[in-house]
Amino acid sequence: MILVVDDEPALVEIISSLLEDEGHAVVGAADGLAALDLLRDGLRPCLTILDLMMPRMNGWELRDEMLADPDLAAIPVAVVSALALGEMRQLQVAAVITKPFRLEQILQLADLHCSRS
Amino acid sequence: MTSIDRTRVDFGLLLEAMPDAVIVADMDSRVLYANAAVERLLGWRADELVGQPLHVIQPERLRVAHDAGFGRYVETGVGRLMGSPIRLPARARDGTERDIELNLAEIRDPTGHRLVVSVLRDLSERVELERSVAVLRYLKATTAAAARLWTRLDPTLVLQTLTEVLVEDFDAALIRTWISEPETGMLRMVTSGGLSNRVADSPRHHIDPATHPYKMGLVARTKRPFLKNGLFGDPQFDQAWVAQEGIQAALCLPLLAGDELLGILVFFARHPIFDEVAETIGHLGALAAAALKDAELVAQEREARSGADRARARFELLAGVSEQLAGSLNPAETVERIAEAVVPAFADWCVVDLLSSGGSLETVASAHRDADKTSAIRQLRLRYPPLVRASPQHAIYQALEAGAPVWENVSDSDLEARAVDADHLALLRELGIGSHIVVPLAARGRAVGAISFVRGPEREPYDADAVVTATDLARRSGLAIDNAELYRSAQQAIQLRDRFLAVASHELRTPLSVVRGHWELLQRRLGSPANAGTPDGDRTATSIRRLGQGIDQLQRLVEDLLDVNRLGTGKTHLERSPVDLVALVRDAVEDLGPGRKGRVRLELPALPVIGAWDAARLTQVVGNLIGNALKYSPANGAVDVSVTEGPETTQFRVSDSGIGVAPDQLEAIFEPFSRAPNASAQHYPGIGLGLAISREIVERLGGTMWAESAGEGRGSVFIVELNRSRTGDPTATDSTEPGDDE
Repeated sequence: MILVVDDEPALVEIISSLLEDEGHAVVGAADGLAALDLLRDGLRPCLTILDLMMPRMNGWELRDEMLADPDLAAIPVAVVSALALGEMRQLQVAAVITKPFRLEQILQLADLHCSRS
Repeated sequence: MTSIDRTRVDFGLLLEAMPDAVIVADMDSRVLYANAAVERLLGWRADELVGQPLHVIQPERLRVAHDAGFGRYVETGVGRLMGSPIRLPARARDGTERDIELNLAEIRDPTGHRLVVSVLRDLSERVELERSVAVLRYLKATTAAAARLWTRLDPTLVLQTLTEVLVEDFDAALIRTWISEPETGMLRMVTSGGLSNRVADSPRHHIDPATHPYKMGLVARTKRPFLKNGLFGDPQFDQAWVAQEGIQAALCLPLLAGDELLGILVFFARHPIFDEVAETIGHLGALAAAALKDAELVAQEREARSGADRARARFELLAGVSEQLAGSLNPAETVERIAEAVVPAFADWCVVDLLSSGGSLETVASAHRDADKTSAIRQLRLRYPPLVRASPQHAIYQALEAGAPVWENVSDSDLEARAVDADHLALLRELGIGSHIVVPLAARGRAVGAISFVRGPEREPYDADAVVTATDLARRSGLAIDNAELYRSAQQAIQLRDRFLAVASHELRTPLSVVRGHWELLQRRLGSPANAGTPDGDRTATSIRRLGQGIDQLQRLVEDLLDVNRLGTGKTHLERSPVDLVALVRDAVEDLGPGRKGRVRLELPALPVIGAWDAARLTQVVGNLIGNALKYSPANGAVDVSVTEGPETTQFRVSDSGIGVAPDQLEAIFEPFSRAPNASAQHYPGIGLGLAISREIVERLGGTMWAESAGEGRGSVFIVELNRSRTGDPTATDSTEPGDDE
C-alpha cells in the first residue's frame, strides 16, 4: 500500500493511476491531517509520497507528527515539492523529488520500497 | 523511429495539428483548404472559407492591392511577398483585425497545378509586449533628449539633434525634417537621416504646403499629425524603396509653437508605430518645437544686439530649468523642481497649483528665496485659498479663464484692497509682492493648473520680456509633467505585466504538471500497442510524441517566465555542487536529438573540468546558447562549441556563422524581452528571455557572460567565463591541509 498526500486531486489521480497500472495499491489523502488520520487508524504504507505546501496540515507538520510517533517514524517518506532542495529543512526522508517531476522517478521509488501485488 | 517515413506520415493530420493557421488557395485565389488553427485565429470554419476568394481574410482597404499583387504573381511568377515573412493585419470573421505574420510559398499538387500556401502566425501577444517595452524605452530616450535639444541655440542644430535622436534611440528607418520659411511660405528640408543615402528618389528640397498633394501637405495645412501603420497597398506609399527597405509605418508631425507651424517631422519605421509610441514621438516633437522657438527668439534678440545680454541670461535660465526637468520622471518631483529652479533667478517666490478633478486648486509645490518663508506660502494657500468667485477675480482664475498669462504690478495699497483680513495682509506682506506673472499650465492640450511667479516690491518688476520667459517656463513645465505622467503610466503598465507574468506562470505550473502526468501515463500505456507498426498505431505514436514536444515547449516557456520574474531579485536559487562542465556540455549536445546534434562541432578537454556550479542551471545556459546558435544560423550551418581551461577560469564558447549582432546591440540583447532588430525583423521565433536568464545565472555563479560579433550577417560568439572556486574542487574536500576547511 502506497500513501499519496497532495492537495492537488489531479496529481493524486495521476500518481495513483501510474502506480495502480504497475500493480501497486494506492490510498490518497488531500492534506497532512487526512493522512495522519489514516495512519492513526492503522494504515501502514510501504511508502508515503508527500507534498509540502498543503492547507490544514502541511508536509513539514505531518513529518514532525510521524517522527514523534514511534509506530510511524520508520515509514519511508518521499517528498515531492516545487520548492528547491535548499528550502527543505531537516525532513529525514528517503527521497526528495522536485516538481515538475517525471513519472519514472515515482515508479523507481515505489519499486525500491514496495513489492507489486 | 528516427526518421520520418514519408509514405506513412499523414500530412493532413499534421497540418491540422499545427499551431499556425494554414490556408491553401489556387491560382484563381480561391481557398481550397484551411486548417483548424484558422478558426482559432480568425473565427472562420474551414467549410465556410473553402471556395471563397483569399482576400476575405484581409481588411477591405488592402483587398485591391492584394488582388493586383496576386494577379501579377500568377502572370509573372514574381511575387514581392513570396518567401519573406511580412506583418499584416488580417480580418477575422467578426470584422475585427488581428496582427499576423504572413508567410507565402508556392507548391504544386500531384497533377502539377500551382497552389499558394499561406501560413499565418498570431502576433497579437507579441505586439502587446513589444508595445509596453518600446514605450518605456522611448520615454527614457525622450527624457535624455530633452536636455540635448534645449542646449542647441540654432534651428539647424535643433533639427539635427532631433534627427540623430530619432534614428539612434527610436529605431527610425528614415527621418526628414523641414522648416517653415516665413518669407516665402515654403517648407525647406533641413535634415535627412537614417537610410536616406540609400533611398533612390531625390526629394525636392522645397515644397509648397498650400499645394503639396501628399500627406505632408495635409499635415502642414491642418497642423495635425498623421500616422499610418501598414503601408503595404497604400498608393501614397507605393514606392520602390518602401518595399525594398521593409518600411511598415509612417508618422508625419507638425512642429508647432502655439498655432504657428515651425516645421514638419517625417518618421518612417520598419516596425509598427504604436499609438503610445507616436504620442512619445509627438512629445519629442513638441520639445523640439519649443527649442526651435527658443532658437528663433534668441536669434532675434541677438540680431537686435542690445538684447544680447538679456538673451544670454534668459537662455541660461531656460537651459538650467530644462536640465532640472529633464532629470526627473516623477510627476510630484518634477513640479517641485520647477518651483525650485526659478527661485531666485527669475522669481523671489513661486507657487504651482494644479486643478483637482473637482475644479478646486491644490498647491503642489512652492519655493521662496528665503527658505524660512516657504512655509508661509503653504499657510497662505491653506488659510486663504484662491476662490473661483472672488472680487476682484484671483489672478490664477483670470489666467485659467483667459488661457493666457496674467501680468501685473502690485502696490501695497492693492494688497490692502485684496486682503480678506489683517492676518491675510500680514502674510502677503511677509512674502512680498511687487509684481507677478501667473501662467496657465497646459499638459496634453488641456489646462491642468497654473504657475505663479512673484517678485518682491524691492526688486525690478516683471517686464514684457519676462512674460515671454514665464510662458516658456510654463510650457516646458507642462511638457515635463506630461513626460513624467507618461513615464508613470508606462511604468505601471510594466509592473502590471510583471505581476501578471508572475501569477500566470505560477498558476500555469500545476495544470501543466497534470497535463504532463497524463501524457506520460498515456505514453506508458500505449508504449507497445497491439497495433504497432500499423498505420493507425504509428499515427497514434506520432501524435503522442508531438503532444510531448508541445508540453516540453510550454513547460520551458513557463519556467522562463518564472525565471525572468526572479531576475535581479536574487531569488534565482542555486544548488552548488561539484559539476563536470565537459560531461555537462556533452550531455546537452546529446539531448539536441540526431538532426541538430550533427551540426555541432565539439572541442572538449580530455579530462573533466570541475567547479562548484549548479548543474541544472548551467545546463539551461549551455542549452540556451547552443540552441540560439543553431536557430540563428543558416539551415545545416555548423556551430562550434568548446570548453577551454585557463589558470583560474574556464571558458565555454559557442560560435556560429549566423545572422550576427550589430555592435550597438551586443549588450542590449541581454536585456529581458529585448531582441536584436535583425532577429525580430527576420522573424526568428523567441520572446527575448533566454540570454537575460542565462546571464543572471552565470553572474549568480560568479562568472561573466558576453557576446562578440563582427557585425550583422557575420556570425557571433557567446562566451561564458566561470571561476573554478576551490569549494567545488573535490580534491579539496578531503584535503587535510589547514585553511582548506572553508
